[in-house]
Amino acid sequence: MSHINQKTQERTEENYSGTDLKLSSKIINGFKFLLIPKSRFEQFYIKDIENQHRKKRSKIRRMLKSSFSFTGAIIIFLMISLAIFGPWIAPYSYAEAQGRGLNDWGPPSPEHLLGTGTRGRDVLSRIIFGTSTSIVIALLSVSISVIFGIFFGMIAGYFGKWLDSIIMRTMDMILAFPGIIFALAFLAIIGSTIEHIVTILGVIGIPYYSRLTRSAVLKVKERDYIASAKVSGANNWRIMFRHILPNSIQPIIVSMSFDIGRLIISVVTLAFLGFTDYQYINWGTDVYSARVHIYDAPWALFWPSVMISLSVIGFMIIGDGLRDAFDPKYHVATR
Amino acid sequence: MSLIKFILRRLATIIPTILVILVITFFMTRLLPGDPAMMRMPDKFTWDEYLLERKRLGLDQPIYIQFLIYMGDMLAGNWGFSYTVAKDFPVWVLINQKLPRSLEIMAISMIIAIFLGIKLGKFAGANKNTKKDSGTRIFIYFFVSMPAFIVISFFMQIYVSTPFKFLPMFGYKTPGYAEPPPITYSRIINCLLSGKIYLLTDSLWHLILPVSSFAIIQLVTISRQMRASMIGTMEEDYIRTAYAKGVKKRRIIKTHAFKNAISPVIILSGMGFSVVLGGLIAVEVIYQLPGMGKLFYDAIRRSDYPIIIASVWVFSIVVIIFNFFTDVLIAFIDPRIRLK
Repeated sequence: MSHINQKTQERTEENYSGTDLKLSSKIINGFKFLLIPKSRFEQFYIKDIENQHRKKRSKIRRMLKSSFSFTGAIIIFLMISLAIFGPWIAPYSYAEAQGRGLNDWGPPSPEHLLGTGTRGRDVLSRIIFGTSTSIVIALLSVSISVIFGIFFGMIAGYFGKWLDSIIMRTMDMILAFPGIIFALAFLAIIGSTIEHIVTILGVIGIPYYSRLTRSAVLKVKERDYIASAKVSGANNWRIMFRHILPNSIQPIIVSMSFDIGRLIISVVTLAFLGFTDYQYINWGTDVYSARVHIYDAPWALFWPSVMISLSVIGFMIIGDGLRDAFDPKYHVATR
Repeated sequence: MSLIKFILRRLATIIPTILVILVITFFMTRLLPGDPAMMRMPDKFTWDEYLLERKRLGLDQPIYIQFLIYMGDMLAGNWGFSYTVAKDFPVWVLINQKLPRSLEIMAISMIIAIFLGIKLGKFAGANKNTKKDSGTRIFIYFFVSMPAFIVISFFMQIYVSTPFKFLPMFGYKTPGYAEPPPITYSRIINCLLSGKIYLLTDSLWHLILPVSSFAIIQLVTISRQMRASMIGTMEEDYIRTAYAKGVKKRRIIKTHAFKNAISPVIILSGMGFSVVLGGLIAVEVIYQLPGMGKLFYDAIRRSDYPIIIASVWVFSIVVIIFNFFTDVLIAFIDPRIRLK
């Protein structure tokens, strides 16, 4: 026992052995409650915030504890760093990876570590550059659907009555459409530039998020702090986006992470079916061109498929982990 | 009584949905490049002839009249003639030929997927956080993460390199075999009715690869949802009560948990049906099966706009009907839904 006491004493001495100013400020802080009324409350408040922070951190730590989620986090970290630092990692430049190489469907060699694909393009560079395309499209369209979805869902849930029924009926209708078919038809008609793909994939996701937001808002709306905010004269927009939104964002974050994975699949599927911006390298086009060379150049099919699966698995596992960490009893409807 | 009320209420919501789909497809036709009247003109024509053609096509009418005409045509099955896929062939006839084939594949694979997927999800969810669960989860993640076309390529790779080589890879029948007489819409039933059993076995034989790969795509999502729903149900109080009463685990899973876990899965698989259509396109394109997916794919690749518009319309109708039936089924199973 004394041994431990000694140690703690040492530690405190270490802490206090800073400048005199620090020591004095510590002393003042320690006796502040005698001089300033209510200063204790301030301390409690700070402690409370610290506790909350620790809780939050422990949630994420709890998520990372399971080996599944940990692999997911590592995969996503790798994918995002590939997307950002791709040009520095890839052995060939973007233009070279899109240009004409020497050896069509060549096997792995010192120059081309993972072999070459159509037109002698380096597979390794192409899968690295493909990361940024898929992730950027997925993130942009998910943010479109989340922003508009939250907006509509918030209005519908908060104001209720006829506005609610109009918005939600429309959303239900859009949800009943076969999204991928509409997307394909629209892209076939208006042309598949990257903006069109982002917009259409984003619009298809709006009803899902507005439903989610609305149900969360309806739960939070009845709480006491909303009533007190109203009483203290906050206007509707402030209540909606300052008080209700932060308290109903959890399910949205969880399904966002699922949705990014789903959108990567959509982007790649669209590219496989020929709807992509050919300026940008996409895994789907690589798989499409390698599909018929499955016998003589399996590497050209294999590596893009692995990248697609890995990125989707990463986001899905993180979604699962976040869901379990936020609330083990809450189960998001996964599409 | 309340079930009939529910069905009627549900039917009433279909009408506005159909209207919205009509509006959107009409909007699509307006977005189409080119002038339809100009496209139908011969090489040399006068301005008056052009105006006459516009009048014949109804392009001089105000837009709401045009929409009404369009709506009538769509509802009557007057879907125009194909541009490029099957030149000047009526789209109605084309779709009538292809749709039953797709529905056959979808029905068979869906039955397999729902049956196996629910079993698998139940198995994983009931044994949460055990080795059984982890194995199932890895299997599920493996296939969920892959787009349909990669799953299919994967299946083809299996075909190339293993004893499965005896399965046929492309097409829906052995070349040279006769078509069965068109008695019903379904080709499989036609084969059965024609009295030649070899036709039936041959077509089922050809369906093994496409149906199994299509079933896998749907199976994993269903079992994922089933697992989540099963885990949620296993944490409920009445399950704990059942344990406390001394009911055996197998019986709890079978009677208490399973029945309560199944209804959200039905709702979600109904909602996921529209996602499945993307997989249908991939399956039909890669295995070269003549169906709606292949037709739609050909049409979008060769900009055959009448087929695109008609296919969107038909797919939407199929999805709406399917959603309607899942809602009715869920209301039949779970009486709480009817009251909402």
